[in-house]
Order: sequence, then structure tokens, then C-alpha cells
Amino acid sequence: MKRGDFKRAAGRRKSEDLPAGNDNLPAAPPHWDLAGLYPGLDSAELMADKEKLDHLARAFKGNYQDSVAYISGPELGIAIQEYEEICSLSSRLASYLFLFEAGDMSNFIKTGKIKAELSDICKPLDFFEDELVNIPQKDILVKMAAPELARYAPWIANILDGALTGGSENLSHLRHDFFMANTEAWQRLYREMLDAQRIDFQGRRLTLDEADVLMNAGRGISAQDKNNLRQAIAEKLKTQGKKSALIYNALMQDNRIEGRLHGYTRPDQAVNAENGIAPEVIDTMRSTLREYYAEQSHRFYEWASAQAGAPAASSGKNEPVKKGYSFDAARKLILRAFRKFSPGFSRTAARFFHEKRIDALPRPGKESGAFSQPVCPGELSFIMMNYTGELQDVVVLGHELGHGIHQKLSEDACGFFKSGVSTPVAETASIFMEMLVFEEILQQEKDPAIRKRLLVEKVENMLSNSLQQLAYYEFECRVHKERESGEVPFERISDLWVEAQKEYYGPAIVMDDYNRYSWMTVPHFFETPFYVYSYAFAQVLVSSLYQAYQEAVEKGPEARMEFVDSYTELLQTGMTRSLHEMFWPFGLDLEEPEFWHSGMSLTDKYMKELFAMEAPAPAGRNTSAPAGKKEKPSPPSKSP
Amino acid sequence: MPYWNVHVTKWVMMGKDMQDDGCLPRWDLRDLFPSDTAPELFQSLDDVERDACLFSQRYSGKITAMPGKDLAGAIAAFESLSERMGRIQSYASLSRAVDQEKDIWAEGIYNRLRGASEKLLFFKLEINRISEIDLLTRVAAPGLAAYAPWIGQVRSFRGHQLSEEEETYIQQKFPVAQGAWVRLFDQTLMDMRFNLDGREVTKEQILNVMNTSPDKRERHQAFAEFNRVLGENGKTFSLITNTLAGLKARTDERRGFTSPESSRHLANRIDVKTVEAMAGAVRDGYARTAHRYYEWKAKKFGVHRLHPADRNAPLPGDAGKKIPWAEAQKIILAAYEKVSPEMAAIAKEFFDKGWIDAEPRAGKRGGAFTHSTVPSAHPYIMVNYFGSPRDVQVLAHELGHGVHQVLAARQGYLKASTPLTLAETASVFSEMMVFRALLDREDDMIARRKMIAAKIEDMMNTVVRQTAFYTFEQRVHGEYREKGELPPERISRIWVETQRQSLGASVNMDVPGAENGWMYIPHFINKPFYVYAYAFGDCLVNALYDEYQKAPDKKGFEKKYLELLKAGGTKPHEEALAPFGFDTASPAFWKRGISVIERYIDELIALDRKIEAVQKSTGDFKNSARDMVDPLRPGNDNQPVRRKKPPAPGGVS
Repeated sequence: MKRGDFKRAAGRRKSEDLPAGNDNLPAAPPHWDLAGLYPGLDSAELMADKEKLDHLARAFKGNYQDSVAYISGPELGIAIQEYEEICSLSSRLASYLFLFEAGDMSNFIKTGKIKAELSDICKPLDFFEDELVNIPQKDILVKMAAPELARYAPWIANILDGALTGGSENLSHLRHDFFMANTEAWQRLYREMLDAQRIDFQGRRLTLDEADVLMNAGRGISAQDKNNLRQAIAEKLKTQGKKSALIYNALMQDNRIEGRLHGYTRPDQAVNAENGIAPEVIDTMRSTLREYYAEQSHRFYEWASAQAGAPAASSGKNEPVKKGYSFDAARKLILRAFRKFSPGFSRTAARFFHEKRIDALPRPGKESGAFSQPVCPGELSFIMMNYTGELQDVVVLGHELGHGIHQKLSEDACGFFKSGVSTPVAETASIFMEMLVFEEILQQEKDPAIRKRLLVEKVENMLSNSLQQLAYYEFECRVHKERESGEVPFERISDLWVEAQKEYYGPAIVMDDYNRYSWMTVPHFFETPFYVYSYAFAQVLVSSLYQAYQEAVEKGPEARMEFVDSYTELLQTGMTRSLHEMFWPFGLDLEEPEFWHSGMSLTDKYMKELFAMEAPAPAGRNTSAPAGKKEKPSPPSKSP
Repeated sequence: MPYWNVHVTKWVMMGKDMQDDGCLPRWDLRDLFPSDTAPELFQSLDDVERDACLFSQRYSGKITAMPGKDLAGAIAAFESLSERMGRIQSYASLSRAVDQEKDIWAEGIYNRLRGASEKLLFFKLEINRISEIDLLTRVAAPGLAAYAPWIGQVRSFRGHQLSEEEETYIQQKFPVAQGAWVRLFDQTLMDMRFNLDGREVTKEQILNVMNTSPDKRERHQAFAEFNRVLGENGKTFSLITNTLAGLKARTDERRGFTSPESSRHLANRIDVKTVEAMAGAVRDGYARTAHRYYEWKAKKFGVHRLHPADRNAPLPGDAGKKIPWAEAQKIILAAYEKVSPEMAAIAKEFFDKGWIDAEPRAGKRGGAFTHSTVPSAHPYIMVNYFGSPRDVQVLAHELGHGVHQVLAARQGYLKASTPLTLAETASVFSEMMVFRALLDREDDMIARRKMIAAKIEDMMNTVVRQTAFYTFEQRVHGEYREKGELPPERISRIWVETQRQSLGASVNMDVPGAENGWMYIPHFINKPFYVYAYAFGDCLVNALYDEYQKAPDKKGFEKKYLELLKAGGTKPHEEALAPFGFDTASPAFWKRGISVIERYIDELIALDRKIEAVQKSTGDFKNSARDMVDPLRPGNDNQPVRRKKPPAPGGVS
């Protein structure tokens, strides 16, 4: 199996309580049903699959070890096919464990042993990829003539790209050991540290998540209380500063050591390689998007501050217009929006509801955040989120269903190995679907105050997905750079963090202690360094793509159908095309600064519409998504 | 990199003013470098960095094929370079020990030394790659034979060595793996705050109350609060413990170590049979030592079962007369003179030449240690002297280390370091001598009883408790390897079981919070399986001291004793001890060491009966144990007050 399959996806935080304000929900959001995978952790079915995996892995090793470089092209193709089947099985097991934990965090202790066993069971397979990458290039090209092998070419290319060159098999085992025993332990410590924090507030003991939700809630809390709570969170975070800095410094250096072994020269290179994006493209993005800070984020927050009435801190006074959606209403709305785009999409989405693939019911011990987790070929993904009836939840559900559809399409078309895609591509489907859902809500809505609020949320979301993630990336670049010459003390990390946020928010927002210490609450920095830029990349990419769709719609039904076909095909490519190739049919050239400008212009469009509105000032800011709602790092709240 | 085992005692924390008549000495580190900003220091750092590069360019990849004569030259160059690095490292850590403000400065120096020592890593690895036959034919070469003991020690890891890329990887990972977890452990303990009657106090402060408060209620309250906060952090401590067990299990497996203790035994140059003979004898003696002593103590405290916080609580009576520094010096040197004039002469140098730092002051570390530094200089001793009899014994203990290190230094840098099993020989021995001398000076029976009880408790904490720790570690690591992660409750369960077994029924392990005792013991974290060496050393020296007392020919004993100390790292313990006729693999030998403790208990109980008889006849019950306590006696709850010399940089094991 692929290394790191047991690694958890980034960006989720756990909550232990319902966010406030779900009072008007008639029907409870659903639980998922994992029994179709396995009846239970101790079930005979699971044990049988574990034994089967053990048997297959050992037989595979017996058949192929020390001969991968010498077998013929067709034989190698067959070997990879067998390997793919074994990995599918292991993925089924690993996904089940992962989902089992996500539904109830206290299950973590129950799964530890079996995860270690699975890791051991899969160890005999390690030789295969190691030997594969060591086949001389000439030989592999010759073998590639065999059709059995040729169909795996993109997967092989992917393995070669991530391979450690020059290291022995022993070293890669050792690295694997250290990953499991050390890197993951730091990440777990980080999670446990955040989970353990309690904030005493008005007689309640709140978790960080709960405090965050309450602070961002529109109702039931005065501006003064919000401010107190904000300070209380900041103080609590500060007490964990030294510990967080120790963990962060260890993980940064860890990233550096592993990077050096790969021959990487930049700290973000692991993510770039995984994303299949050339470093120059990232640099272009970085320098092009920076120009938009003043024009977009500074302007937006200045406007929002003015709307809320100075000083900015008082913005929370305005009660946001509340509009609750039952889960059922959300389902109908989403399916309708999908159907308008493509009936096929809508049908697939409907299956997730019917087949109980969605766990949307918030409850204690369940992870917060949201994800769509693929299992193995032939199985629909599982979607987890916490549905509380906010508008934002509807959008998030649309987002995750976008992932789910994408995963299904690419797996059907490419099989298990070739279905994996990089973040920017993965987010293409999800953010695009999110856009469709948003437009559907906007079109339905007649009340100008609510329309205004929707636009505020949209603009803020787009900004936080693009420019704010870029600022996060800037922060990471700087702090990793300083780590190279020694440990970065806690307060210094906080300085760099404030600096990057100031660049994003501009003069309208005053930085306080909460802004200063909130870096500790962004799991990406600890678990998947530099990953955040992928969100900015994806947001801009989708903005461009969505503009292309709008143009096609304007041109007429034929052009629209053509777009839908190309788009569906895009979701079926898996890893069989490079990023550049994938977006070429839509007239998008990622290597040109022009591409980035066109993406950012969609935000401009919404901002113009918003600023032109005469409706009474709605909630303004503070209506942003509660922390951890999505996979993206949630923006720390803006108001000081 | 050097990691010190610093035992932070309670004196410093109590902020007790020093009231010595004379001035207490501070050490003079100029024998190492003129100052922490001296150009000599930074020149030397530049030099070792450059020379490490040159050394690696010159020798890397060439060791296995090198003629014996050249190999001897390479080792000599390695020794000289290591010694120069050792000098810098010693200077940095000694400066830091008496001035906390120098932390960052020292960390910067360690970083540079770490970089240099990484360049030297190849050397030992390549020495291990020389085939047995090649080595035998070369060892006769001029200069090489002298290094044979060191080569032998390096090569004892041969079968457990990985490829150079793996070893380099492990070394690079260390600071973000094991090293960082140890730091997390230290930081977690240091940042803990406790609530004592509304006051916020640190770990040191609360332990001080728990161990030394004259008020039983206060002690128990401190115990409850201390363990409550430990419990709150139980998940973190458990994660640290499990992570380190996991890292150890994985690297042990790669290196081909069959049991969790194996790598430690190898580093200590000891076989498992000897360790088990020792640990087994101690376990067999639990009833005759710890169980018996704590039963007596419980009775003294008027309870059926001792509260764990009362286990180290002092007996009644004052601490004995204050002993000024000059008098302490006299007592110690006189005791040394009796055993060996040669050793007394060396000990005198420490006093005369500014090799001791005894003055307690702000920013100075608590506790005591001896640092061997390098053979081209001399050892330094740090203590915090307040003038109690206990302080005099600590000073004697450290002087024992110091004298031992001076004698062993003649072996040169690579061979001077004594194996752990023998490292406590001179220190414990001289502590014994001085204890006897102090006891002889004291004529107040109650003070004498207190002194003997304190001595016994030291021995309990060194021999019995460390053996119980060892058993605890064996079970935790063993279970981890068998079943995976241990939840905190499970670790606590093992703790309670091993404690109950060793301390006996008279110490109440059912007190809530007692199960958290494992959480704050640094050795489990930074030196797994190190603890048994304390018990080993103490028992061994007990037997040696017994031998001395019974020896008809004291001159003959002195000669053998000096030989033992001078051997440094050139002989494993069984060889070094052979002249005394000791067989450390036999349980009978260890029984002899343990019987010394039993005799102390006999002496205590006999004295106690005498006191009771006198009290009965005079009707003097004022000194009943429950209301008289001496606040000056240090609690030594976890570790015996023994120190080990910090490892030199560049070590591979």
C-alpha cells in the first residue's frame, strides 16, 4: 500500500457540542451507515479481510521480490494490477478505520493496535515501489510498449516523481518507521492539545471549537461578550504557546530533513510535487496575487468596517438575518442546482442520500469540519460534516458532494491507482459545485437584506479562500526560512503571523492578541505544511472556470452542453493528464499571469454588485463560516 | 548531545540564606577558557569545525583498508579533536549550570558542536566495518594496541550497527524525535502550576512542601494537589511514554536488539545474567529491607499504613550541628587520609584550586554534580552548600567522583570514561566514609537516629526504589511491544503494582493520586533502563566497603582500590573487580551488598529501642515523631543524589 495511507487528511477539528442556533430544524440530519463496509471493528468480516490482505501481501512478495526489474512488460503490468487489487483491499480497511474514528474520536484508542497490525501486514509490499523506481529508465521505456503496462504509465510516473532517489530500501523502511512513530505522534499531540483546552465563559466550560462557534454566532451574545470571549481564547492559546512552538519547530525541522533526503531545495517542494505544479507557477501565483491585497481584501474590510460603523470591533452588534434550512430542504436545493447543470450529477448526488453515505448529525465526540472520504473501487465515498441549518452548511454540503461525485467519476474511469488527483484538481469539482449551489440560493432569494448578506458571505469566502490562504502561505515561507537557522521562539512565530495577516487585512482591521496567537489553531501548518496555497490555487482556478461556464451559458444551449461535457471529462481524467493539459480545453493557461488576473476578476464582479447595493446594512462581517467548517483553515475572525 | 541528569534539590528553592562563617567557593573556569566571549573560545570552535571537515575528507571511506600504524594515527587525531570539542562543550555546560541566563548562548554552541560531530559519525561506523581478521593482524601495530579497549568498546555495537545513511538519518532525526519528546517532558513539568492554599507554586515548591513540611496535613495536601495536576496532564505523559517506547521498539528491532533492555546492557558492558542476579537479589530482599523499614517507620508515625507523602518525611530531631565549609573540608580530607593518602592529596586540590562551586545563588542550578571535562584540564564539582550533615555527604560523594575522574584521566580522553556499573564506586565509597565520620562526631542519640534513618532512606531510594523502577520499565516496554499503546490507566496500574511489591503493605498505595507517580520521573523518558545502574552501583560499593572494613591489610586494599579507579574505561566491571574476588554474576554476591542495608536497619532499631527506653524512664515524650521535623533535610523522592558525568559529544551509541 502507499505510504501515508493511514495519514489523516488535513483540516479537521473536532467539536463536542452543537453550535448554537439549530432550533428551527424539523428533521435531524442523518447518520451514515458503515455496516456495508464492515459490521464492526471486531467483526469476522474485518478479520477475514485482514487475513486475506496478509496472505496476499506475503504471496505477492514471494512472487515478485528481487525480480521487478527483470520481468517483461506484460508481466510487470499484471504485477501492478495485482498490487492495485491488494492496495484496494488495504484502502477499504484503512478507510473504515478512519471513518470509525471520525464518527467518535474516543475510538482512537481502539484502532491503534489494528492500525499498527495493518501497517505491519503491508510492510512486505514496500519492496515493490522501491524496485519499480530503480528500474533503469531505458528499460522501463522499452517495457512500456506492452499495453498491460502502458495503462499504468501515469501511475508509474507519479511514483517516480515522489520517489526517494539513491536511498536504500532499508532507509525507506526507517523513514516509514519514523513517520509512524514520531511525525504522527507530534501531530496527535497537537490535536490532543487543542482538544484539551477549556474556556470558562459565563459558567460554561467551552472547547476551543465551541468558543469559536459562539464567538462567530450572530445571535445570543452581545458584542461585549464576544470581545471577552475573544480575549479569553487568546489568553488560553497563549498558555499553550511554548508547547505549540515546540511541536511546530520539531515538525518544521522534520519536514526539512525529509525534504533534504528527497533532494528538495525549497520547503514547499513536497506539496508542489504532490500537486504536480512547477515551483515557477507557484511563484507567479504568489507575486501576481499579492497585488490584489490592496484592491480586494483591504477594500473589502474597509467597506465592511464602515458598514458596521466604526470602530470595527462593534460589528457584532448587528444580528445577521437568520435563515434556517432543514436538512431536507438543503437536499432538495442542492439536487435542483446540480440537475440544472447536469442530470447525471444530480442522480449521483442523490445516491449519497439514499445509501446513507452522509453523516451530518453534530454530536459530542464527533470530529468537526467536513470531508469526503473515498473507500475503494465500487464503493461511493463517505461524507462527513456537521449540519446545523446555517446557509453556510448548505454550501458545505454542496462542496463535499462535489468531491464525492468527482471521486466516483474518476475511479470509474481510471481505476483505483490512477484516480488520485492533486488538491487543485480535487477542489475544482467541489468549489465549482459550491458555486452552483450558491447561485441557486441567490436566485431564489428576493429579500434584499438577505441577498446582501449572501453576497457579503460569498465575497468574504472567496477572499479567504484565495488571498487569505496566500497570506498563510507567506507566513509559512517566512517561518520555515527562519527555522533553517535555528529554533523560532514562540513570540517570534506570532510576530511573523501578525505581519502576514496585516498584509492581508490592511489598515481597517486592528490586530489583537487573538490574531496574534491564532496560528496555533490552524492544523495545516502542523500536519501538511504549505498545503494552504492549494486552496488559493483552486479558488482562482475555479473562478476562471466558472467565468468560462457563464460565457458558455450566454452563448446558448449548445455551448453550454459542450462545456458540461468537457467538464465531466475533466472529472474523469484522474492522473492521466497534467494540470496544464486538463485546463487547456477551457482556454486556461496556468503559466500566464493573465490566468490569475482573470480568476481574481470574479471576486471583483461580486464586490461591485455588493458595493452598489442600497439595502440596509446587514450583519456585515462576522458572518463568516465558523471555524473548521470546511477543509480549508478557517480564517481567524477579523474583528478585534 | 549532553543531557544532564540534574537532580534539583529543595534547598535552593527554599530560598534559605547561606550563613556560613567563611566564604563559600565559586569555581574558576578559566582553566578551560578565559570567558564566554573570549576569542580563544570562538577560535577553538572555528578550529574544530574546520578540523572535523578535514578529518572527514582525509579519512572518510578509507578506514577499512588502512594499515595499523595509520589507523592508530587516525584514532589519535580523532581523540585529540574529540577532546577539543569536549573542552568547549564542558565549558558551555558548566557556565550554564551556574547561570541560567546563558541558556541561549550555550544552545548556540551545542548546535555548532552537533554539526561538527555529525561529520565524525563515519569514523566509528567504519571502524566497525573492519573485518575481525584484518583487525587482529593490525592491532599489533605501534600505537594501535593502546587503543584496543576503546576499539573493543566501539565494536561491541558492531552487530547492531546500520548503514551509514541510516545512522546519519537517525542522528539527524534525533533532535526532532527522542530529543524533542524529552524537551516536551521537561517543559510540561516546568510549566505546571499548583495551587497551595490559594498560592500558585511550581513543581519544585510543591515537592518541597510534600517532602519536607513538618505539617502532615500540608504534606498530604501537597501530595493530593501535585498528583491532581499530574493526572490532568496524564494524556500528555502517556503519549510521551508511548511514543518513546515506540521509537525504541522500532530502532531496537532494526538494530537487532532482542529485548528492550539489551541496548542499555551493552552500553553498560554488562550481561543480562548479571543484571538479573542483582535485580533478583534486591527483589528477594524487599521484605528484609524496605518492607521491614517502612513498617518500623509507620509505627513511628503512629499509623498502620504510611501515606505515600510520609514515606520520605523526616524523623524527629534537629538536623545536627551546622558544619562550616572549612570544617567540612577537614572532616572529608581526614576520612580520605585514612583510606588513601594519594586520594586525599587529589581531593585537597579541589579545595585549593577553585575546582568547586559551592555557593548557592540565584540563577544557579539546584542539586549537585561532577563534570569530568577533559583529561587536559580537570573535573569540576558543583554543589549547593548550606552546612547540614547531609550537604557534607553530598560534597563527599561528588569529591569521590572528582578524584575517580582525575585518576582515570590518565587513560586519555577516549578511555577515561568509566563504565556506568563502576562509575559510582569512589563516590558512594567516600560518602560512606564520611557518613561514618559524621556519625562518630554526633553524640545526641536522637540526631544519630535521624542520621541513620536518612541514610537508610537514601539506600531505599537508591537500591529498592530503582529496582522497582526497572521492573516497571520492563513491564511497560514489554507490554508495548506485545500489545501496542498503553492507555494512561494501564501504565498507572503497573506503577501501583510494582510500587506495592517493593515498598510493602506499610506504604499505602491506595491513596488517590498515588497511581500517577510514574509521570514525573525523568529517567523513564530520557534514559530508559538507566535506573538499575544506581542499584547496581550502590550494592556493589556496599560490598566493597564491607570488604574494606573487614580487610586485615588496609594497605593492600588501598592498592587494589586505586588500580580499580585508575582503570577508567579500559576494563569491564568483572575484570576490574576480579582482584577483590567478587563474582557479580552470583546472587550470593548481591546478597552481601544487601546485608549491609539490613545491618543499618538493625543498628537503627537497636538505637531506637535504647531511645525509647530512656524516654520511658525520663517521661520525655516531647520528641514524639509526629510533631518534630527537620525542614532542612532534602527529600529525595525519585532519584538518589548520584550523578553521572555527561556523555562526551560525538558518541554514536
